[in-house]
Amino acid sequence: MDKAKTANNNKTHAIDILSVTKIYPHRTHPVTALNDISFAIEDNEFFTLLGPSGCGKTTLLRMIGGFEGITKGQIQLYGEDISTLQPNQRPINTVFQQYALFPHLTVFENVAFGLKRLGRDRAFIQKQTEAMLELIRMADFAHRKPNQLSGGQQQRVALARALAPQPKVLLLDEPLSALDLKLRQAMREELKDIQKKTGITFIFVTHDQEEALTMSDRIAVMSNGEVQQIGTATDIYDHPINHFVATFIGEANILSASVTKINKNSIMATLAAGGGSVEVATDLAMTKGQKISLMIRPERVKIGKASRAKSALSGVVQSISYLGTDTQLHVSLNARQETELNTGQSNGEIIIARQQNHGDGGSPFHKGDAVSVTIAENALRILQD
Amino acid sequence: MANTSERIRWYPGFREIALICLVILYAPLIIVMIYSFNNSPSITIWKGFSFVWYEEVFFGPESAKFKQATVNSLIIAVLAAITSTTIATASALAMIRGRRFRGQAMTFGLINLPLMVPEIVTAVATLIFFASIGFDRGILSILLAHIVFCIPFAYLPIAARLQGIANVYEQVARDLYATPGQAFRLVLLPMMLPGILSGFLLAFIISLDDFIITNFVKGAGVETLPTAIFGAIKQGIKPNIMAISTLMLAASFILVSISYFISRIGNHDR
Repeated sequence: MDKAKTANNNKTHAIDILSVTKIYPHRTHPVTALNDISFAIEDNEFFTLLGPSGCGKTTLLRMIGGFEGITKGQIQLYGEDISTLQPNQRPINTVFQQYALFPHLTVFENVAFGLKRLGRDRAFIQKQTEAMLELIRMADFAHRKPNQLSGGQQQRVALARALAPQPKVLLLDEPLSALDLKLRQAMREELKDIQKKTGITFIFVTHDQEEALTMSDRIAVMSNGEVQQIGTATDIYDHPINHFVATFIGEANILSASVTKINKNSIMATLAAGGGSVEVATDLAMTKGQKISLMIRPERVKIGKASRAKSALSGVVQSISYLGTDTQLHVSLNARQETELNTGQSNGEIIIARQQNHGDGGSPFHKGDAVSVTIAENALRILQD
Repeated sequence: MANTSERIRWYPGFREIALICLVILYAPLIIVMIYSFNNSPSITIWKGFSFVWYEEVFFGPESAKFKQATVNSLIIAVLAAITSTTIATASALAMIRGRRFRGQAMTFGLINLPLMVPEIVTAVATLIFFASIGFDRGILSILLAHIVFCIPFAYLPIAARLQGIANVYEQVARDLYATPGQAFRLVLLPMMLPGILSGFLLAFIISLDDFIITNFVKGAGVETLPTAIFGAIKQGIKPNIMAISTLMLAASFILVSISYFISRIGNHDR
């Protein structure tokens, strides 16, 4: 292998996924778990694989760890091909979903397990294991057995056990899913903190979008064995590339529209519902008359008292849900106002709006109110499918 | 517990049936135990408490015969238990941790066949087999026969234990730089140990107790404790037999209890 060259090219990448495909063979129904995916994970990054169950995120993680074979393609660690190495030959450790602490060993022996297998000298093992127990604030529990620990404590020991051998990359397979909500939130902070302190590249698998948004430097959204979009939390939330990403992360209104005018860095489009004309920034190639899907987040839809202002859409409040900090309104959009014949008739399209509750008593609107609907400037996004 | 006993009280007659069953099962044992301490050669008339029959067992004219039989029984039981436990552990690993293979269900059936086949059939078949290949009958033939029928008894607790251990433990070990051999030795084997020990003890007891197969495949002059007892009874029941039986019962009871507690301890740390 031309080590020097590849190492140079990918010097900064912790992991390179190169055209990786995974097919589970079967006589009649082979299953494609991953379909020719490629991307890179940077050094010292908190990287999250996010997707619904069955999207291939865990399969990919297990392939990086060495627990699943690769049907086609290559996985590189700092520029070196690790595709054919056994799990024990990879400087990569995993925190498994079930913790799986060794029940016959003490907390200390569990954390020291990897270091012993690596043949480190005793003084170093002692020092490193103690440092890890200190890091997870479990130094007092060193001589307990795992069955004497709570779920959260077991989780932290599993983390320390995987971190102790100082892996180049740490894999985390939904490690928080078995914890209750409060503990989960606390562990998010702790994980993020530990990643910063240790400087180890974390690859985190989850189906929980909130977890992904709050912890990650970058997120890869996956579905059906493919990577849909990679970006920071704000990239993915504010600029979802397609229908799947828009609806999987947060709530989204999808409005159909048709292109009426092409400008240099934007287009003009007419909404199918309500008929308002909107300007949308884009650098995609478009043609006049093309049907497109536009996305807007509920918090960027403004609801006001019914008005005669021309640019506003109008509608009728269908339902109101009080969410504590916010109130969510479902508004059915009226057909275009300019056409007198159709005034007041709903065309069936619903737009969701979310307003922050500033004072007591929630929203000033009630079910059945006629309202105006305003779309914030620059809040519409074109979805690619 | 109170709950359970109350629920059983709902079914009229259950308690009486249970009591009758227990009496039928244990009354003869208790009588044997009591009369082993009888200060009389009679096996039915109580003449006061004494250890005379235990002295007879250890120091009487027949003591040499029983000692030799006991030594034979222990040697056979230890060797049969070690061998069958090893084979059973390997089979459990292949059946539960190995890849699926053709004929897996049939293999499971074969491993457990000695539990289902009437013992007398196995005994006759084994005797015919040894005779037809010209195998000398003696301690070795008894040992081989015992190994075979002890395998399922060792297999069942080991397989049950192994089934309860998730694959992820070995994966964690591999992830933490253990070779496949180290993952087995340092993680899987210690986790299986309670099952292996209780399988070993069960096999040991079964071998120690066996009469039918042993009686068929033993050579002339070679006795195990059960066959020696049977031989002694043919000349009339003497209370020293009761003393031996009581000693065997105590040994079995202790071993079965140990086996039970080991598997309970094992289940606790899961």
